[in-house]
Amino acid sequence: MPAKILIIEDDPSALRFAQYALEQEGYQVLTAANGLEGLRKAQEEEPDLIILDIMLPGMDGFQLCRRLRAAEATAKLPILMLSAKARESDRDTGLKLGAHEYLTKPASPAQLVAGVTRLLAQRGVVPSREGRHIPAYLTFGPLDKQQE
Amino acid sequence: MAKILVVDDEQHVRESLSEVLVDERFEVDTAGSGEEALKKLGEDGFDVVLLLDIKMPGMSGVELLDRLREEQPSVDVIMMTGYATLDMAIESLKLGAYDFLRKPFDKDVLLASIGRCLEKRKLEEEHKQADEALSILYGLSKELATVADGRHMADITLRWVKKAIDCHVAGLLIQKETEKEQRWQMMVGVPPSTGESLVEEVKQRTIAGMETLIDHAIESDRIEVSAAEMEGIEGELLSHSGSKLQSFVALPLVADERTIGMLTLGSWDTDAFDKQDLKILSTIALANEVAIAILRMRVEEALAAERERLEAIIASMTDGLVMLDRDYRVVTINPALERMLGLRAGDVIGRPTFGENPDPQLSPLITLCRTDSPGEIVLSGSPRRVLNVYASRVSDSAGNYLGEVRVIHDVTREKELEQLKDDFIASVSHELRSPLHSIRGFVRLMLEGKVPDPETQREFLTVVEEQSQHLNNLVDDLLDTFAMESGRKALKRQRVSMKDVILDAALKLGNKAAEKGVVIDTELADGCPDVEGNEEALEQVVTNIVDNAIKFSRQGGQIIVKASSGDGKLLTQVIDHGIGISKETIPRLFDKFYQADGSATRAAGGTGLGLYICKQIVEAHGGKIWVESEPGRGSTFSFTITLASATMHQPATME
Repeated sequence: MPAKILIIEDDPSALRFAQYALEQEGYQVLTAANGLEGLRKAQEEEPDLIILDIMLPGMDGFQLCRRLRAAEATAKLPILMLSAKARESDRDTGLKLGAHEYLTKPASPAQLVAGVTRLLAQRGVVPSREGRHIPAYLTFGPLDKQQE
Repeated sequence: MAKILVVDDEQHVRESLSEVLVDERFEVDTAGSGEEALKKLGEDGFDVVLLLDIKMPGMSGVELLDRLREEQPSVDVIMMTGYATLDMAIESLKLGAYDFLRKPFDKDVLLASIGRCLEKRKLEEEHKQADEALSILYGLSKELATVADGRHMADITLRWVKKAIDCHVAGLLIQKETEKEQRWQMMVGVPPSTGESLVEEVKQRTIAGMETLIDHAIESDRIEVSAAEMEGIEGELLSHSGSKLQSFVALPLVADERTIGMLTLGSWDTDAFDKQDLKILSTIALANEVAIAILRMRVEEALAAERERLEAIIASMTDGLVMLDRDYRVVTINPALERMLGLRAGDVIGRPTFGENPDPQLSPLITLCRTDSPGEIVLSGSPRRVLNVYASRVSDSAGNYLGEVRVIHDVTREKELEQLKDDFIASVSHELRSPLHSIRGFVRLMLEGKVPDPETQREFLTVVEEQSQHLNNLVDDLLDTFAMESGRKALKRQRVSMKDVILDAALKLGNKAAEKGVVIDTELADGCPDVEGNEEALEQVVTNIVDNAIKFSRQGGQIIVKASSGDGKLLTQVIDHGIGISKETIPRLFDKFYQADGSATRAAGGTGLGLYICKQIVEAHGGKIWVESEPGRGSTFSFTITLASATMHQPATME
């Protein structure tokens, strides 16, 4: 089973891009266009990782991150924040609230995929479906072992 | 010459003594008994009594001596008697006789005794005068030491002088020095209800006396003259009213080797002032008490002026200020600090700011800030206040540490502006990065060959084009915003037909509306009079609002653009029946980068700056813009612009 990734993003073009880029790498992708929908899907669909935008209508990414960390089921779920908020203080806030990774827009497909892969590897999740190309710089020791 | 009374019961003794004394040019009188002597002494003043006989019929010499000591203590008595015994001599001297001589008298011894007696009297008199002058000086200087103004000083001086010397009027002329000019202040001491002519006479004479001393003319109209009342001579005035001065004395007051004033006395008696008076006067003048007081007064006036200036500066400072003594107790705080911290000077002066039981509001300003570096203090509460505190030590000219001064600069507003600026930059960055993210992402995917399907390629390229367009709009709006904010966008004002503006906008947006099945109707009442404004800017406002109305209208909805005039203004309204705006959102709707619904607006290509720019434009025209809305039922955007005056046709530049 490929890893399941939930993208919570209100900008349709940004969502489309992330979804396409990750599906290309063999991931299964779920999407949500606002914080509440994202929270519900995070709890019901048990994704392996969440890509979280910050500026969302209603509940924003920071609030959502706090909610996810507070619930036992999602307390350790890998979260990659992907936002156009580029201030150092925003990154600090995100990481403090429990995000594992903070990527600033604009982010290239490679950056996005690398971030996701790295996070999943740390969590011991198989990064992508079998047979798919794994970027060369990730194919070292621990990853191979975990693949077995 | 001294006057001598010879008392003896024997006539020849009286005669022979008189002869000797008259030869020596004394004024001599005689008495044959104690009773006669008392009578003569009572009538006329004598300096010396030669009491030749202790044994006399009736009142004895000793008895007479006793009476004299009581009744005429100023008369000196020299005893002379044939019963020259030691006991007698001692008793006489005990009773106060000046000397004791033996009869028959030796002329030389007698004259020597009288001479010594007169010498003694002279010394006594001088001593008495000096005493009087000294006591006046003492009283005068003691009172002058506490005086700060010229009028009061003159009153005191004149009162004391009057005590020592019998005069009817007195004057004190003081040179007052200010930074700009030299002024003279004249105090004239006169009896109550004296005519002005007398005051003027004293003034003129004093000035004349002064001018001989200072070698140049005093402009008499630059002299302030005020009359002080002399005590206790009102009665005399009645018999002398209108009389001219007969006697006049003037004494310069010298300080620092310069004549800084003059003390004058006048009387309507001829020869009213004798040598003795002058002596007392010169003692007073020489001792410089008055002159010193004048100098001190000048220094104090200068200090008071300086202090006042300093207090005015401190009070008018916009920065707060607190002065502390060596023990960190509050010496003073200024009104700015009172306002800043909401406290009253009266409540905190004298309170400690350090150590035990310090003032809770002032303490942080003191303890968190050292003299070597300014401190920033954030006061909790709403709004959160940010204060910069600068400390400095205060020492006197000798380097003695006196305390500290804290100057408190309220930077709340600066901090808020800084924050606003930071937020704006962050918002701009965010808004630019979002479309760039999609553009770069899709382009990258295609460059890496990850989008083999032509349909998907087309889809992605369309998004890239849209996002580029959005970026373009954003840059335009940002430039407009910057221009409006910096006031660089000078809007040329001229007569503008709002009718044309509205119809143009409706036409331009017609296609976009039609795509959504939305109809734009116009209702232009009263032929829609022209306004005074910038056509391009007003078009931008109408287009922006109508564009928004289309975005938030439902499929098949109606938009009405209305214009009506009144009160010298044209009111333009854009009414939609769309989704409406929540009450909480309305106050922030015209803010920069505020988007009522992030996703919907962005999807519709909004930059978050449109309404902000509209507001800037309308306000630059002196108009108002506002919105009324009911969620679910639609919104009405309204704005007013001043009507063009009848004569207006030439373009003019609006500030």
